Amino acid sequence: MTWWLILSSGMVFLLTMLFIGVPIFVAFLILNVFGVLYLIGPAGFGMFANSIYATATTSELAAVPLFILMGELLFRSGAMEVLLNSLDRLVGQIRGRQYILCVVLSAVVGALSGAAMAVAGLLGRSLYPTMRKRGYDMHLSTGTILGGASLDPIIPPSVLAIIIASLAKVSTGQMLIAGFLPGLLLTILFLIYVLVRVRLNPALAPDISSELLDPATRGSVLMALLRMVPVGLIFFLVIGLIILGVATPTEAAATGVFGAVLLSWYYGGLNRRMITESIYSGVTVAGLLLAVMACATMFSQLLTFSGAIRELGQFIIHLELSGPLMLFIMLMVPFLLFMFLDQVSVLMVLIPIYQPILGIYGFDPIWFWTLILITATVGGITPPFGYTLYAFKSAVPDISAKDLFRSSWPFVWLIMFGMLIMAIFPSIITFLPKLMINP
Amino acid sequence: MTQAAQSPSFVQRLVALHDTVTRAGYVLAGLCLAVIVCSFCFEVAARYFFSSPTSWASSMVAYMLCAMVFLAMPELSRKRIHIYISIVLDLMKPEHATLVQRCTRVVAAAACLLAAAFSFDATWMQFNNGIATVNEWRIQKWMLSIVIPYGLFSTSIHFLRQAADKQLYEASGAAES
Amino acid sequence: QQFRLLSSWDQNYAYNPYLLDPFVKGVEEASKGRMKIAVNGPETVAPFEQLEPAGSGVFDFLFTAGAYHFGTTPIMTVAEALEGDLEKVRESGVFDLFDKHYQQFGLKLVMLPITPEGAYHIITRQPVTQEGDLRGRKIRGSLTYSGIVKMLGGALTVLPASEIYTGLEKGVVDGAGWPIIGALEYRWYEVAKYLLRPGFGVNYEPVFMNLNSWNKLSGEDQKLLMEVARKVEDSWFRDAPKVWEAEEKELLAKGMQITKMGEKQQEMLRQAWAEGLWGEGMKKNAKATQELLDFARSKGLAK
Ligand code: NA
Ligand code: NA
Repeated sequence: MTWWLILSSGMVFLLTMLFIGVPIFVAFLILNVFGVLYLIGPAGFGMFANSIYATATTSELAAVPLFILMGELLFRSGAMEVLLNSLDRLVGQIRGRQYILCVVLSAVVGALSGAAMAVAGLLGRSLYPTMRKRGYDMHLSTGTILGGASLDPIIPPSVLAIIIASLAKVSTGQMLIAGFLPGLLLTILFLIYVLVRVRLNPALAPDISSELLDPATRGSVLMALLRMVPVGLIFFLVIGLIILGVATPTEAAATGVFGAVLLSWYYGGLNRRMITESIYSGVTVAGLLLAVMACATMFSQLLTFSGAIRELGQFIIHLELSGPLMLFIMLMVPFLLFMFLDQVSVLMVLIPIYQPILGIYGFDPIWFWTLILITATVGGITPPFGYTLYAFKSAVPDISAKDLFRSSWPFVWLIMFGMLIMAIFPSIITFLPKLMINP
Repeated sequence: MTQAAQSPSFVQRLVALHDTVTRAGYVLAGLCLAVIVCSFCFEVAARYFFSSPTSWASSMVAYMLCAMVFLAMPELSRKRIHIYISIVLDLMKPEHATLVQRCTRVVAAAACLLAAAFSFDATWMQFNNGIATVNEWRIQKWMLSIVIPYGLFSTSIHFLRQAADKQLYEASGAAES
Repeated sequence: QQFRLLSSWDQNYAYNPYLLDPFVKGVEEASKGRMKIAVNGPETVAPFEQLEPAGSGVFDFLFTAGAYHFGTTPIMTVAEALEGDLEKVRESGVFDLFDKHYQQFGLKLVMLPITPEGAYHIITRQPVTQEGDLRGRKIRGSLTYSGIVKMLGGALTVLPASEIYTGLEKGVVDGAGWPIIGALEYRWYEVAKYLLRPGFGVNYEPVFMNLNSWNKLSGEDQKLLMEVARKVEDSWFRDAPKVWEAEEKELLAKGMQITKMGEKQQEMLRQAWAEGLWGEGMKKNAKATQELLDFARSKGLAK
């Protein structure tokens, strides 16, 4: 069987199973069982069992449950109220200030937690009702929260960055740090967007005079800043330790958890129940993701075993596409897939296929995989399927799917626009990681 | 389950036992995560403050991660929170979606059972040949890898139990129910 | 006929041009294109999991290092404690002992290139301490290095090869043990400035063949494989020191410097190496290790 037949029949088979609702890790199990039988024979089952073991014992993937655990602890610690109040004070007296608050808060929370779903749920439960009550536009409020939540996997720490780094075999630390400036750029884009929208159509935001009666918007700026210091320390415990080289990203994730526990104690939110709840959240989310990864790894091994990857590389060379066109295609394919599929399963399939192409076109790995990371993040809010969408929907059950989808698109385009800027100016992504290499 | 408690049949007892074991595995998975946190915090402190890195922390984390994933797997299946894509099922009539879902569960059960069989085979081979792990802190490999067939087998039973369930499919509108 | 070879290293591995490539090309040429070997790397099977698929026949050949399957058997790891003279090793018949040992895993030993003493070294971020050792430093290595690192007062940290660069760069480790060539290809000279000298240890880098695949070959083809293997072993044993020197020269030109361990440490080097390996081997499989030790002593390959 030729390489493209292997590849395409594997894909069709996988997609069919996913769309009839087979649990994702099972879909990969079935695909790989058939793949092993067809390409290797029963002798390959030992190799399959070992590949499950090898993936599940990859200690750098321990950062996945750790980053989730850290975020869950912080959300339950009482730190979020402090952050919200401080930021509320710091955002100026400007029309549409809740939008601004939402974007800035998302970016700050993004620097403390590892996954978008939790943020979308959190903001949906806490910020959204306030915004609606004060007369902010439903679509723009929803969109701002969805866009804001999408900052989380881009700004370190990030579970998705860990997964991509481990699949693409690039430095986890560099991959994490690389997301920092892109996250900042997107934050700024979002701010400009909401300000322009409100300027053009003042009906989108209410008059702020009533809002400024809220005690949270008054008080000393200095105090507001000071109150954010303990939370800032957590960010340093994670990202600072990585940059300074005191700890590996996985170890830094563990110290981050430790810091989150200390902070909860400081804010008086620490108790046994919140700790067990947070741990089980970490186990659940990481268990789901890692089960998919463990069962799917064999697929990429089969692709290299069959020679399909090598042949694909040859084929790509013969196509002689220009670099920008190739980049566009390589980002468009996952963008379309992420509309309907979940992030990890698409990444498990695409990353091994993309790896040789990177070499052929001389794309900088950190730059390219960060663009993929952002594409995967956008996938969370591209209708109809996306975790961020559903997390928001479960926090705000009365919003219709139509409204939800309509709200998310402008932010999808904003992030795409941001990616265009990063594609043209790669140093936005590569500047910080390069700084790490030459200390 | 309260009715079952009055006069539990053999099958009901088995089901209850299965649920208990599943739950216990999940609690252990939580413990594994706690051990991961403690090991790495200890390692960072030992290395940074006392310049005496441990020889076991990174091995411990690798082992605990594997145990965590496969000890948690049955409970996640029991609670039906394994990720699947529901957009096609949501578009179908509930009766059709129910039928499709019951079929996929039977298939899933079969696949997990097969995977449990060959991963048990690998574990059995490791046990017989006394194969050790290659990490810094070495243990007998089967003592760890046994969680993989356990997780897959128990998950397979949960899928079977769910396939036998006659409840109508409810469009969740969400990735997870 | 097309064969599949599984390698524990990627294409950048410094030994490939001297061991793997000549073997693959040699077999193809000697058989006039009848036998072809396709190489798969660690992206197909993770390095520590490679013995099983080679033994079960998913792959026909395996190019690896003993430490990567130490969990299954310590023999090829411990073998590096033997004296590294190619002629002497061949005459002793220890080759057959290895061969017989690995047949229980479904493998036939085909090629055993030996890199003479000085085959490994450690690169470090800082020069040695005043005592001439690595006291309190964290050194990356597989358990092959345990004896040496312990003797030098350092702590061994097991990191996969792919993490050596960032580990050195961030100071997660202060040094890294590796075969004496390779720092150039992996660009470690950018993040570690010192070459610890002298080098130490003997390196055995076996190529196994799946036993069934071997038995299916005609006697003529078996002979052909063995002849190619002997040629590669010969030329590598002869050229190795020249290859090291060339790489060392280039590394020095890239700004690396030599740091010498103390004389006391140098005296203990050989013993620390051998004792570390025998000790690890005894812990894993005392019977097989003792057997090898007795045999080696009787042939004058070990003390
Ligand atoms: Na984040
Ligand atoms: Na989507």
